Amino acid sequence: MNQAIRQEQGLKLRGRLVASHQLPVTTTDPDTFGHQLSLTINKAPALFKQAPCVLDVSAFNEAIEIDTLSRLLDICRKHQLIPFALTGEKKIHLDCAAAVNLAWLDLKAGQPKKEKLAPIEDTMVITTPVRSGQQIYAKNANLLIMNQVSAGAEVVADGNIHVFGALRGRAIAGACGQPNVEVVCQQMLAELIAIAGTYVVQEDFPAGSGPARCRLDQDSLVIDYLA
Amino acid sequence: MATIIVVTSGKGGVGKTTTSAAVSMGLAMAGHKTVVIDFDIGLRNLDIIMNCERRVVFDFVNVIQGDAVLNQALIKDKRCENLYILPASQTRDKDALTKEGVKNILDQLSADFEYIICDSPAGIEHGAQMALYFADSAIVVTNPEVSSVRDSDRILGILQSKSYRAENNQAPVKEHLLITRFDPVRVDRGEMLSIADIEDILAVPLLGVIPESQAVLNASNSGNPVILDEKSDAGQAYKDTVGRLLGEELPHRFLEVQKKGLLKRVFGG
Ligand SMILES: Nc1ncnc2c1ncn2[C@@H]1O[C@H](COP(=O)(O)OP(=O)(O)OP(=O)(O)O)[C@@H](O)[C@H]1O
Ligand SMILES: [Mg+2]
Repeated sequence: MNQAIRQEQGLKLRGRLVASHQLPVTTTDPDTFGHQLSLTINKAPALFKQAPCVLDVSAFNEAIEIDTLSRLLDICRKHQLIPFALTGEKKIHLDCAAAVNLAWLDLKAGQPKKEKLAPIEDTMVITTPVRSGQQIYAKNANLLIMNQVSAGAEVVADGNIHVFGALRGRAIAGACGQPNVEVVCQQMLAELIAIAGTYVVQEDFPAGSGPARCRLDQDSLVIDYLA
Repeated sequence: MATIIVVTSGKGGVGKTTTSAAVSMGLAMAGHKTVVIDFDIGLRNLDIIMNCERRVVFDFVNVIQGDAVLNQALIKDKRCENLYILPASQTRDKDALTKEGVKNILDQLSADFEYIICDSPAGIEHGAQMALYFADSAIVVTNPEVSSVRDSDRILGILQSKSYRAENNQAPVKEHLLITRFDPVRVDRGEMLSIADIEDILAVPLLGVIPESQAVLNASNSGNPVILDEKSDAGQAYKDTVGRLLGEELPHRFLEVQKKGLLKRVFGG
């Protein structure tokens, strides 16, 4: 009885996204491709071992020859990658995928989506001085410090950081990658300012003092003195 | 209930023990029953500055480990009947101090004394943390130099995050800044931080400024806390410091470069 039910049910499918590498193919020359591939893999071999990957052939405006494509796939496998799908311009490349037995992924779906960052609404408020050796992290929040931040202290927030006192330590805003955040302080004496991974150390600060506002302008960190 | 005051700094050699001896003597002379505890296990020197090293039988660690009772280890000062010293052990290491053991002793002392002064070892490790853990207030000793100020800042952070009061959401440890070995000549020359600089960086109320003074060396060599040397600048500065600790409002002295007197100018000095 049980068995009969099982047979009728067939397989239960689960929709699930699999993390995979997307390899942009920019050349059909096997040697060049192999060389590029090993350069990439050598940077982090563990990351690529037996890793599923998608070949992105959107750089080509014409269908790639099946032999060429097969050779590229062999090179991938030789490097211990497991290519399972092709992506590119559907009209041009869909047939190639079928010919080499690969799944098809739509270009849009395959493109690395900008991860949607949660909007930051909460604010963490600190009223005491942040002393040397202390670290404050405002997770998913802005950080408001109604006091000073000492040299050797570190204040970190996923959102903005405002310091209503002297900022002598390190301030790291947009810790999860949010670029549209700022560090604002009453007295700019920081050791380091970072926003969304871009940082400037004190040695490279522009000349100035007093109240300051730090923000990202197209990937470079700008410090504006307000006085 | 006694008030527990830790004398701490982070950095070594800045004047914690000198200050502990002077402040405890000052409080006792002002009529308050006071005990000073040497938390610097393994490097005891409070008893030398207090001139009682030849009377040590049992020590702090003996009491914690139950080898002696508190009264056997407490040494009564010969100059001031309100003052007692609990010496450190020379032979044990700092790990002999446990929170429970320290608490037990402080509780016993609290019943008998008005002030308990804890002379902290240098550093921010176990020994220093034990010395400050149960404090009600802290005298943070700082020399006018960047590294000392930085270490004081670190200790202030620990006081506000790792003390009993902090861990139990009680009113924070009361902070006092004491600048010692202050030399106005070197500040004028830009070789040392000014008082304003230090206050600005640490943002803690200033309890006192003790000048760099030969009297301190003389005092520790003779085993008399410098506060007993009433003619000396450092002795007077410590006396003012104790006064402020007890709530008096006193101006800070010895901050300016001393003009040489006529005689000194004539004869050189
Ligand atoms: N105001 C002062 N003027 C001149 N010398 C001083 C002064 N204060 C302290 N000293 C000297 O500095 C040295 C260190 O002082 P002290 O032992 O009090 O420091 P400490 O902070 O307790 O050191 P440790 O960290 O080793 O316990 C001693 O030689 C002392 O005489
Ligand atoms: Mg000492």
